[in-house]
Amino acid sequence: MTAEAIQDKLKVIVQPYVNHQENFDNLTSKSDFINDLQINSANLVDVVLDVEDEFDIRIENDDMEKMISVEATVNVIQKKLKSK
Amino acid sequence: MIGNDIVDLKKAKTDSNIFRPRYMEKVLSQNEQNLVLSSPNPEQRFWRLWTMKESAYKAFQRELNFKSIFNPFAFYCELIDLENGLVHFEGNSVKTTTFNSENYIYSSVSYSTFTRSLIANSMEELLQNLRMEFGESSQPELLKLKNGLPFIKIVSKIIPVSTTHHGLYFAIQF
Repeated sequence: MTAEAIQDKLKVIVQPYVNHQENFDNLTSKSDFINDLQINSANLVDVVLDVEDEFDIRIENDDMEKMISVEATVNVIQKKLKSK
Repeated sequence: MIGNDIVDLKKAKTDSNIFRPRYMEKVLSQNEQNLVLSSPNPEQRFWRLWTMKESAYKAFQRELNFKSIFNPFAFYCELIDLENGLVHFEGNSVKTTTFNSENYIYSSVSYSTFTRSLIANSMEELLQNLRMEFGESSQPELLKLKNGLPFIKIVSKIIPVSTTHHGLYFAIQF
């Protein structure tokens, strides 16, 4: 799956947890979940779980700790999909 | 060391489902999960551990100067009594104090006895209380350094602070 396709799916996943609509509308690969999209840290867990369900992958803590931006999350997903 | 975190329990109930499958195992060790599940109030216990981890994260990030990560699992909690606890992270430990009310749970790192915390219902009210605390006539200003760490400028004094906001509650430790 291309990075663009993953990012599109990720955008749908994070939407319910976003607290900054304008930054969400202008989402780029550089968007940061906490500072830009203002996702509550407890909901970052939900983002990780939703990603696992959507892509049928399991994310360990070493990978989870990087998942604070769109780009880093897309990279983790891509890596996991390749090793499936 | 400073680091604090507040959880508005009503908001947490509507925003998060901590009983969602695999939710707890992402953030808690087996021992910590047992502490939650054996508690008469599992939700309160969960948010106590969560706020302890978040306050320790903020304190260690300031102290060790690492870039942002998301790994609550790496912060391991031990409960000493109803208020006091310890959080371990990569060979370091900090003491934390937790205040439980019906509406919120507030934890802060209690490394030094000289730190104080204030809790209010808006940032304005918090700064107002801080002004009175310092006995100054001009309003303190909340600023962020380049690395994102917050501090307060009050008259000519610059004081490092930790801030937290969730739902109806705002808190500051200094």
